[in-house]
Amino acid sequence: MIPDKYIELINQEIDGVNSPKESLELKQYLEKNPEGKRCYEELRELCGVFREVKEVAAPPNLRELILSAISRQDAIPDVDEGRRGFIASALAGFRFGFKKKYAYIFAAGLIAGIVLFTVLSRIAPPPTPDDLEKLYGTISLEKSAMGVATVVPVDFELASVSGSARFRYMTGAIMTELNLSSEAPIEVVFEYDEKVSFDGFRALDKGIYDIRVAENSAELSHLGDGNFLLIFKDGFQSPIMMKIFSEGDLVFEESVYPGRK
Amino acid sequence: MEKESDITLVKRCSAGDKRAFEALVGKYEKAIFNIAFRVMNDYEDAMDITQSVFIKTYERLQTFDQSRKFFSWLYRIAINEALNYSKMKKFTEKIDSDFPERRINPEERCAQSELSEHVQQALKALKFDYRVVVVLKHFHDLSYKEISEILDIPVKTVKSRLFTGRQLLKGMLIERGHAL
Repeated sequence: MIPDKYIELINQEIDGVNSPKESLELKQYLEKNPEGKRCYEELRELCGVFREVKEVAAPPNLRELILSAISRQDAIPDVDEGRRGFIASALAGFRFGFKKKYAYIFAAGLIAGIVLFTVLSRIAPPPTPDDLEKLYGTISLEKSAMGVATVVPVDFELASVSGSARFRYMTGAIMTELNLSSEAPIEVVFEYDEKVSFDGFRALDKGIYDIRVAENSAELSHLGDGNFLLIFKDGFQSPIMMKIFSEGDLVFEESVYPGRK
Repeated sequence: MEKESDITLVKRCSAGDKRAFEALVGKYEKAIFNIAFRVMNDYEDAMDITQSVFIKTYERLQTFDQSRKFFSWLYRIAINEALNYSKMKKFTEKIDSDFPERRINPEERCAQSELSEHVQQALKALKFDYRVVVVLKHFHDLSYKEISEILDIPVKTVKSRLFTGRQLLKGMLIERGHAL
């Protein structure tokens, strides 16, 4: 058994930080203690092994990848804001790299809009059978003044995850607000047809997540509590299939489309 | 001198000079890639982490305290990013548990010798906290103090993690048949 003091001196000697006095003290200890000497020799060998390990060459195109990713971010504010519509400019703001404070302001505005919409919907008189203007079913839309069709929120309360997803169909885009709370790792997968494409993502909290995008799907891996915004390009008000996986098993599935009740 | 040079680049970059940021990327991309590779033991993860680190650095450059060393700040971002990836991988790997052996791509195979691969496998088996300290000390030649600044932990903790990490690695390499 080597005393802690000498373990420290052995390691410091290997790192070259012992004072002459400490080095001498260690030398005297090692001369009398074969176990300590073996430990010192082995650690010295180990450090020699580290020195023999060569540096790994970075991929030759890495710098270009980094700089082009940064250029893409910089390109967003360069678009002529004046020529962009309100929604288009709001959507661009939620792409990667946008300043967080604007994201919060926009999210707060959206939430206020939802609350207002909900309140106004509840106080409106119920539709009567002869009032066809107010009738809506699977193909009609709930219209707001901005031409935003809000689909009934998808709420889920499962063993592995709880939360909600709110989909807004806008002109040319679908905005999805996702609220998740999970104690175990989960994956939320959005599947869509070729008329839809992924356009942007924003995590509104610091948390553990990862997003992978394929041709017809976007997959968000998540752990803990988090709020996210996902934006899809869509010109046809296409349906989106939302699936939740926990430990590889499908635990929730819901198809979302305008007019869904 | 080196610190001043970094600070100059950071100042130029903050003033909107993109070439200054290119110079910072050029200076540190290899080091960040190597930290990420040694910590994650995965070539593609290391690529993703390196990109992510520089994007975050670019976004947060205005928040950098110029009285501190730029490389410490950058390395800390890299370690945090690697830690996040590591946590993410823990559960994605559960799904791939039928394939316990990691596939090594051709670039990675070229980049690593047999010895390097053995050391890498042993490092992978270490706890994240020990692994990071060993990587910074032995593959980036940083002092106890520099490591303590990067990880924001006392020098005493750096030493303790380093000594324990080495001891564990020594045991693992001996177990795998390396004569030490």
